[in-house]
Amino acid sequence: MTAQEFLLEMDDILELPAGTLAGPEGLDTLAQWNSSAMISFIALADTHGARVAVRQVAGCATVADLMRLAGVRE
Amino acid sequence: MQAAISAIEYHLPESTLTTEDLSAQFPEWQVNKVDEKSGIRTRHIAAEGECASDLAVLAARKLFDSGACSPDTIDHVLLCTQTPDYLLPSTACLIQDRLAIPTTAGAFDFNLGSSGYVYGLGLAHGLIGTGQASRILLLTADTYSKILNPRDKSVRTVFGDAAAATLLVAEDEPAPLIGPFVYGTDGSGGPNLIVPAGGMRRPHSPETAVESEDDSDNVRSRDNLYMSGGDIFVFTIGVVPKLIDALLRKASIGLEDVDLFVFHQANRYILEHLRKRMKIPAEKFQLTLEHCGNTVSCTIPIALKQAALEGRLRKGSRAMLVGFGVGYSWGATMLTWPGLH
Repeated sequence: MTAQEFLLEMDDILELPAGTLAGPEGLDTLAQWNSSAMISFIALADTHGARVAVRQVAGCATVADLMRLAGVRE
Repeated sequence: MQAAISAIEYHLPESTLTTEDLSAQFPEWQVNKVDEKSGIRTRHIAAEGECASDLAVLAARKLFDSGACSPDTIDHVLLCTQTPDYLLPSTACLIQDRLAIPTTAGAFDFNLGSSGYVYGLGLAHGLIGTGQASRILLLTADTYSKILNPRDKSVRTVFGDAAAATLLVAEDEPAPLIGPFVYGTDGSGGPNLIVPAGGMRRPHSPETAVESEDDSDNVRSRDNLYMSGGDIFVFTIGVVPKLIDALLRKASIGLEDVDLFVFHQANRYILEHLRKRMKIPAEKFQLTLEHCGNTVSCTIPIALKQAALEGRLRKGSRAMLVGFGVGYSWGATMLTWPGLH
């Protein structure tokens, strides 16, 4: 999965228009970043072979942090 | 002798809690969106004073009334529940009495959640295979609605109450109709799906009844069910694929040899994720939760019954049953479908 593909997936998970996210966005600024979105992110990472723990997700502050956690190169 | 499933019936309480009901009570919960993801539209809720034994008795009577057998032929009662009528005696003993099952029958409870039906089949398989029983009433029953906080969206949208009754009989067959079995446990996950107070470790008290709000605005006390959805999801996607692979190896078969996969019906999102990850065709994957929700150890027998009614299981079909959840506990088994009474 490329960085662009990841960002588009996250746009969908966070119910944002495609192309909105660029990476530096703080997760606490995103209205739909909630427990349900976190599970969707974990599922996305899993689909692409990255096994992430909840505490690792909780340690992420930005969308770019999530991208790195999912093993996607920026 | 081999254990074989002869009949399955289930009972859902009369009162229901729908997407619309929850949306009206809690407009801020966006229940429509939650239910769209989970695939659940209706949960059945036990009435005040209606306990697991009541639901189990109704499921069992439905089974007896179907003509599958009469109570006086049962020689063992197994009840899987996490919401027993009392700490003691075993609720299975009370059920024996209410159903007028002979006093020569064995009866006991075992405390498991969503893995419980597979463990129950394992127990029945062992009891029948060793000649300790020949006609077993395996019951699953829970009233999770009584232990969750009505203002906790994370669990109220998910769980429903139910009971299921399965009749297992001894058949003179050369090969097992149930099995092999693969089990697993990881108690480090215990805190992620738990009712913290009410047991011997921390009895109920005014302090345990104090409610608090979490970061997602869910309200609960230590007397209420707590579920960390994210941790449960991570556990499930980590364990279940390996469990399936282990069972296939033990059974010396491939994925393509399984006619129907019946997983614990946790929620549609996680089930679909697992199905795609394991490359299981949709037509071989049973989904039965829209009209009852997550009924804990009842989800697999309810799904099996529905699959049979829908014609997705025929005599000779090979089904894989996969249970996973609270504990953490997991188990899987193969079932050669004998055809139901």
